[in-house]
Amino acid sequence: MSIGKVVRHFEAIGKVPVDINDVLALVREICPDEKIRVRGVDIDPGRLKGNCYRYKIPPQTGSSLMPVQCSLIVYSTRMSTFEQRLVCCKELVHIVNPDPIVTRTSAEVVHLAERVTKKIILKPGQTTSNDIQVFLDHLAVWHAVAILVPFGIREELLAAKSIDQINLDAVAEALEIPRDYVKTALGPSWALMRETILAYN
Amino acid sequence: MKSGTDKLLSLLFGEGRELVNFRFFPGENVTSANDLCEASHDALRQALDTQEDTIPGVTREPAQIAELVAKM
Repeated sequence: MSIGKVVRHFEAIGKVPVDINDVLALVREICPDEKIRVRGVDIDPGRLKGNCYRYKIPPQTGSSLMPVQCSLIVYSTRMSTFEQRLVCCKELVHIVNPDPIVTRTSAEVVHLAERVTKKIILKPGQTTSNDIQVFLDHLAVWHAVAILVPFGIREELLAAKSIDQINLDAVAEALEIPRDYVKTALGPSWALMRETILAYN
Repeated sequence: MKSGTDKLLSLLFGEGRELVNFRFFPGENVTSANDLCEASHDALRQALDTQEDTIPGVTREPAQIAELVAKM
């Protein structure tokens, strides 16, 4: 199952707010061999909002057991609950939608940390794999928005009202995600963004 | 004293763990790669020391979209 199928799963249910417990349960169903843990931590969200740490625990020498694949999702509990939900969902996206370029070595972790703290560069001749990884991180945020904002709510709202008549604060409260993301998901380019997300999954 | 980067790398590869993938979601005010690594180290250290999942919940009962929109 891919991220597109996760998006469609919650669209089919047609209820909001989407519960992160349900997203986690679905991700666990999709990845039954992976030990997935989610932890809220006391960290300044101005420095760090979250991490997705995926690792294997090799079996003891001489053991016939397979390595254990683990994922540890962390998010800052100092953010608003709405933002915690979005960050947590974004990090879960990395498990269900494995990144085509991964960070496996010490050097790659260091390079990625340097890249994400600077502006992304996507120019021929200057783009590195780390730039692509930063881009994938941005994309994962929009995948999370597609999960937490089932397309039906946009269709129902825009059928009843023009975008200027919609109370974005009320919609954000109903969806329990930050208002700025609601604005994008109800905006004119979201239908195309969502189609693109689903087309590649 | 170890840098934030060194602390994070020690943790990521500690206790025989083999890294499969690692992602950051940085905050808007992070000052450097080392600062981000230090924050990630502190966050992961707390997480590894915690036994139970903590999921950000919802504050209201999920409602059908059509009913909700009708009330707006």
